[in-house]
Amino acid sequence: MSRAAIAVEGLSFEYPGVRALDGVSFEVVRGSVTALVGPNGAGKTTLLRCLAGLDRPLLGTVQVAAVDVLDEPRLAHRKLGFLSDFFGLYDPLTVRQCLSHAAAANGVAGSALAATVADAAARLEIGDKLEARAGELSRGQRQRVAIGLALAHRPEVLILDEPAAGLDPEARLSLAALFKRLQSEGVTLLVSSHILAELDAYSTHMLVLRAGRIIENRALHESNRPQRWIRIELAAPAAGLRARLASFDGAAIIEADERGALIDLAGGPVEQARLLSSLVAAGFPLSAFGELREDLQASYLRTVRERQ
Amino acid sequence: MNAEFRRNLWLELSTHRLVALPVALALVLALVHAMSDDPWDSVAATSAWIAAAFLGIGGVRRAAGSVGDEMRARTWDAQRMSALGAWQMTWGKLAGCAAFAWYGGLISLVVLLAAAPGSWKHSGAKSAALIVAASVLVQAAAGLAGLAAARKGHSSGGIGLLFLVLLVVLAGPTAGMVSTAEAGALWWGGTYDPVNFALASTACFAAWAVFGYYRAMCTELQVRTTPWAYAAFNVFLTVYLAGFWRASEPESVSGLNALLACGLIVTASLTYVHLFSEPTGVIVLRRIQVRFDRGELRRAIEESPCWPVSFALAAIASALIALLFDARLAEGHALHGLSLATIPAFFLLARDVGMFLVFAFARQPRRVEAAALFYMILLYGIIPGLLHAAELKGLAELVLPPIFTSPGKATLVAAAQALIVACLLVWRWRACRRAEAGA
Repeated sequence: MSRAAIAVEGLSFEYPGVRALDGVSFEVVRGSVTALVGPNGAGKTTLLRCLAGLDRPLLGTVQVAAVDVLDEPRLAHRKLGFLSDFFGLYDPLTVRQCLSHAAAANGVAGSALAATVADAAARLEIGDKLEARAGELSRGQRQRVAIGLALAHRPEVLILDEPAAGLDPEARLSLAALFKRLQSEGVTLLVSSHILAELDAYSTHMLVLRAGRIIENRALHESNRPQRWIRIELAAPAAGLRARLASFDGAAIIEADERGALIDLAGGPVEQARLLSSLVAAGFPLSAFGELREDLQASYLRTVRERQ
Repeated sequence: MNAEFRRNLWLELSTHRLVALPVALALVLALVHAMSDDPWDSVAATSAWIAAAFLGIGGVRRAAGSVGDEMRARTWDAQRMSALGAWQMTWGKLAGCAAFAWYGGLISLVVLLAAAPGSWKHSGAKSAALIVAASVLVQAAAGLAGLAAARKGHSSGGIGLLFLVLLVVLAGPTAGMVSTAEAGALWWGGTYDPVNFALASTACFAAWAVFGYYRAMCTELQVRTTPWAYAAFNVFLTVYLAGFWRASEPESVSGLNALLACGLIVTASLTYVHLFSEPTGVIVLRRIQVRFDRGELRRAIEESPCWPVSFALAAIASALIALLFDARLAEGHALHGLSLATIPAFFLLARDVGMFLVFAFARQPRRVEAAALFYMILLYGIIPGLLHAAELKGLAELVLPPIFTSPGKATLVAAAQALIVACLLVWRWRACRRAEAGA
C-alpha cells in the first residue's frame, strides 16, 4: 500500500488572467491530519476542489487513495469525502433523512442503511438530533451533520475546507476532538484554514500554499527532530549564562541575558539532559528549563520568513 | 429505491399534500359537474386542463430548478460526489422534483380517462398520452435549460418562465392543428393521422429531451462522453423538419434539397443556441488546447462544448449545398439561389461565433451573451436599416451582405468581416496568454 493517501504532481489551474495553482506537487501521508495553510487568495479552496474532483485542472495529476481523480472521478469519490467551506443541507429534511440520503446515494442499501445512519450519528455525537430538521440546528450542529454526510460512506480520505469557520470556541474544541478520533480510526484528513490556532490542536503535518505554490510540506511536533528550542529561566540574575551556553557543543543562542535564554540545541533528550546538568553544576539558579514547542503559527511564520 | 427520487419524495409529498390535493380536485370537479349542461364532457375537459396546468406549469417550474436550486443551496457538490450514476440522477430528479405535479396531473388524467365521452373526436386515452408525452418533453427541456443556466451562473427562475411562455404559445396552435386537421399530417411521402403523428413526434422529442438532460448530467458528474449524441440530434432534427418541407412541396423540392437546406438551418441555429448557453470562456478553450498539445485527442473532444459540433456540421452542410444542391428551381422560390448564398451565410455564422468569442476572451468577461446579441442586432438590423433609409445601399451591403441577390459580392464582404473578427480573436487570445504569463 502506498504511503501517500494523496499524491499531487504538477497541478495547475487557471481563472481568466490568473494562474491560481502553478505546478503544485506534494504528498499527504496516510493516516495524518495535514493542515493546509496560507493567506486568503493563496489557492487553498481551488486546490481542495481539484483534489475532490469537483474542478478540472489545466495540467497535472491527482491521486487519492491510489485512484487517479481526473481519469476516474466517480471511483475516487467513493474513496474520499469533501466538506466545502460553504456547504448546504436540505433544511426541510430531518437529520436522519439527510444521513440516510447521503448513505443511500453512496451505495449503502437495505438493512445496512439504518445501521450506517446510527453509526454516523454516534461518531458525530448527534444521536439526539436525528429527528430534528436540519434547518433548525445550530451552526456547530450543522457542521457536524455536514461532516457526517461526507463520512457516510466511510471514506479513506476526508478533505475539509475551513471547517471551523463561524463556530464558537466550544464547538471548535469538539471539532478538534472529532478530528483526532477520526485520525485514530485511520482516516486521513486534509484541513484548510487561515486561522492557525484551530489547526494546531489536531494537525500532524503542515502544507503551506502561497500564491498558488507549495512552499513547505513537513511534519509538525516531531519528537526526533535534530534541532529543538530550549527555554532557560533563572530565579535570580546571574552573569555568565551567555558565555556558558556559547561554550556548550551544539547550542546556538537565539537570545540570552542575565535572567534567561532561548537556544537552539542540536541533538535529542540526551543532549538536553547534559546541558541541564552542566548548568546546575555551574551553580545557575534555574527556575525553568524545557523545550519550547513551536506551534503551528510560529512554524508557519518561520517558513514564510525563510522562503522570502 | 433511487436515493435521489426518494429524497425528492420526502421534500415534495407531505401527508397534508397527499390528502388535500385529491380532496381539492374532487371539489372543483364536483362544482364543474353541478354547473354544466353536459356534465361528464365538462369534467373530462376540465380534468385535461388541470392535468396540463399541473404538469406544464408546476412541473416545468420545479424541473427548471432541479439543479440550479441545489447549486444555490450549496448541496450540489455533495450530490456530484455521490455514487449515483448519471441516469439515476436524471430520472430521480425529473420524476422526483415534479412529484407533486405528477401526483395532481395523474389524478386528473385518471378522471379524464373515466369521464371522456365516446363522442369526442379523439379518445381520452390519446389525449392523456399526448399530455403525458408533452409534459415529459417540456419538463426535461426545462431541466436541461435550467442546468445550462445554472452552469453559467444565471437564475433558473427565468428559464422556467420562458418555458411556460413557450408552452402557452405552442400549446394552442398545436392543439388546434391536431384537432382540426382533416387531411392528416403530411411528412415525407406519407399521410398520417394528426393525433397519432403529434403523439409520436412528441414522444420522440421527449425521449431526446430526457437523453439531453442525461448527457448534461454526465458532464456535471464528470462521466466522460464524446458528443456523438449531439451530432445525432442535429441529424434527427434535420430529417424531421425536412420531411414537412418535402411533403408540402413535392413537385419543386427534392428530398436532397430539403435535407441540405434544413441541415444548414438546423446546424446554424443550434450553433447559436449552444454558443449562447454553454460555458465557452478562454479557460475552456485553453484546457482543450492543452489536451491537443499533449496528444490527448479523446480527452479534448470530451471536454469540448457542443457548439463546435454544430458549427462543423454547418460547414459540411454549406459545402454539400454548394456542391450538390439542385438549383433547377423556379425564380422566386424560397430555395432558389441557395447554392450560392450558402458560402457567405456560413462566413457570417463564423463571424458571429468569432465575435462571441472575442467578448468571451475578455480578461474579466461580463455579460458576454448580451454584448454579442447587441452587436448582432446592430449588424443584422439597425445599421443596415439606417443606411438603407439614408439611401446608402452600398454601405449597407458592406454591413449586411446581400447573400441571395448578389452572392459573389456577399461572399467577399462576409469573408472580410470574418477575417477581421478572426484577427481580433487572435489578438484577444494572445493578450490572455500574456496576462496569464505575467500573473
